[in-house]
Amino acid sequence: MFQESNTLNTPVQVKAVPAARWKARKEGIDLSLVKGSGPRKIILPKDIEPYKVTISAVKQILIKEKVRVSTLARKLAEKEGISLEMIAGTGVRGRIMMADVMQALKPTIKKEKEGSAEDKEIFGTTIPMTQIRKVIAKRMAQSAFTAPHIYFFTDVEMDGLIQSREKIVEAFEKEFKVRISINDFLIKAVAITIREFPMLNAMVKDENIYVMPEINVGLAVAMKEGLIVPAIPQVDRLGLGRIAQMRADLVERAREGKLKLEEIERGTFTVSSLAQFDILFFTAILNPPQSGILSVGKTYDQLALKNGQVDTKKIARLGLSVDHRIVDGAVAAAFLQSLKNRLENPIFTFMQQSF
Amino acid sequence: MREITYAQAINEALAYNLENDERVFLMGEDIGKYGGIFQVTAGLLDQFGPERIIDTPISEAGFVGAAIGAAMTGLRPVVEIMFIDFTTCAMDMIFNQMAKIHYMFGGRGKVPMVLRINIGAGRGTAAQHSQSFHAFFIHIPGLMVVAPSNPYDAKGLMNTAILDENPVIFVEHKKLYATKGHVPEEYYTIPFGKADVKRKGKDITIVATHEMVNRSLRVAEEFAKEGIEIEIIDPRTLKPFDKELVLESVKKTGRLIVGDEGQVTCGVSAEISAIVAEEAVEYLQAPILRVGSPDTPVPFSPPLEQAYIPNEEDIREAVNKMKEYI
Repeated sequence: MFQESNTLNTPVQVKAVPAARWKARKEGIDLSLVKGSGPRKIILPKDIEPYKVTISAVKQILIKEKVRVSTLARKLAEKEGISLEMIAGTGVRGRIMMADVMQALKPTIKKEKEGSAEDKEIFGTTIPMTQIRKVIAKRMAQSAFTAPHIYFFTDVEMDGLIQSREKIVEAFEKEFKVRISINDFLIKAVAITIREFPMLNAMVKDENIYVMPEINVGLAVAMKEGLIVPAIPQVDRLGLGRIAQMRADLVERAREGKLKLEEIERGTFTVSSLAQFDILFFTAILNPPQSGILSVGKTYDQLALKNGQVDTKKIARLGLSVDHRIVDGAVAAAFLQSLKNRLENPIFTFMQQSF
Repeated sequence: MREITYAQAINEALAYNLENDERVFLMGEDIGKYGGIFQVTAGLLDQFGPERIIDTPISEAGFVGAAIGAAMTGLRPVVEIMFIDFTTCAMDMIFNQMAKIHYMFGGRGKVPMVLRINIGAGRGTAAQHSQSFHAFFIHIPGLMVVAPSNPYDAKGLMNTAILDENPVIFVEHKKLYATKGHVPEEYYTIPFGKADVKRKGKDITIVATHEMVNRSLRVAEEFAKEGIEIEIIDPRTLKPFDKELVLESVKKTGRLIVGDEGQVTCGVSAEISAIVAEEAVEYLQAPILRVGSPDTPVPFSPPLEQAYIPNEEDIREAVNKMKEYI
């Protein structure tokens, strides 16, 4: 009975003990995002605790984004214990109206359906944006339309880096309890390169350029609700061991929805990788107010002549988007060139870096 | 403090009331010369004589009916039915007379009597002398149902039962008769409707009755070694039932196991589970589990009978299952 009157649009198939369900309802937490630790993955009250952090973090961002909501709607939402972030507004300029809250309170019974039935259902329908989707939409549009983007691409020979990684990966895992990834080298190389090109760590502030004090590299992570970019702080000062550990932890917690506001907001430069897909390269929109974002395509084999013999080499195409208000083409090109050199000479690049 | 058995504790309460209240008398099969099948009334015939310690023929409906009449006219009978199994011979007396008279006479008639019965399997006495269907009596409005789990509670609750103006079903347990415990020599009463916390804990609540209390206490000690603290609540009277204390405990622990030797189907544990599900479901962090007898007659074969009785192993299994939710 409770499941049907659940106010959180939680799919009925989410398994949670009653105490967890009540708690989630009170705290305004979507149980479908929580990972259960009980038998058969049932959600226990303790599983909700860490999740509350991300909810409050998202809430804080949304406060800054100003949720538009009618007084009646807010009162109803508070009474029913439903969080406004989960509701899509249909009023003027996306204002959340009482009817929207009532709509959200209706039980949603998601049925397991075949693809075709699902398709029939979604085509020709209007899907209201959730607040989280709205934040992404607004920020991306703001970035695309206020920061003039210019794009640069270069091919990087990855053989040296891949071999270096293979040589150390086992010993590294023993020492740091985490498998080092190519991304970890990339993040480190980016941070060292930024030290050389501080404009890639800057933002437009009124009529000034503000060069941010720390080099915090963010990693774009795809979540169910949308993209989120947790950042590793002061990467230029960290060893690869610490970077790999922090990267693994942040990605895992991002997927579980357990990030803190600080971790989402501190980024000064972003790395976005689609290397797991057959995507050769892509252009990325800056994560405002940052001035640079690196896009990473798939590493693939390319034919090459080595000492007159036909051989293959591993190539990854890197893309760089910069805010032309701050960074000119020559600077961006020099940055990318420098990054390429570092990645192609991994021993020299990482030798000086204590693990 | 001195230690006496559960049977001796009840005997002491009966003797005190016989001594101090001339309205009190006992009836039952073999309770006089033989001292009762479990020796609960041993020695009372010599002390109080055959007018007050009455051996009856095998005629449950007859002597229960006689006691109801005596109670209505001002006496305080305490009747022993040899085994709970035999109450079925007197069900009309118990359910339709004893339980109803106070109501049907608009409160102007009353039946202040005690019906002593016993439950529990394990003596190799087969399907008609080993049952634990005390839940029947809770189901019928108009009866008090008492379930002592140790000698101290048995004496205090018997004293209260004899004082009570209502018909009381006093449910004893065969396995408990020989168990010893500290019992004060002086007279004392234990109020009906007040459960007792037999062990404090924060992780799991076990509501247990009769011998299940002692079995649970032993299992709780084992789990305490691995850091799981089990709270054990003994309702002591099943009607009235102290739901406040049980709810308070479940709200604290979020996890409930109910242990009662009757069948789980429509049993004491079913009722307690339902109360908690209705009134505290939002506190539950795990499914409610019941430990009780299976839905079969009590087997005569000793190995099967042992498998039938809900014991420490069954409680341990329930706790292990519930542990996964901590």
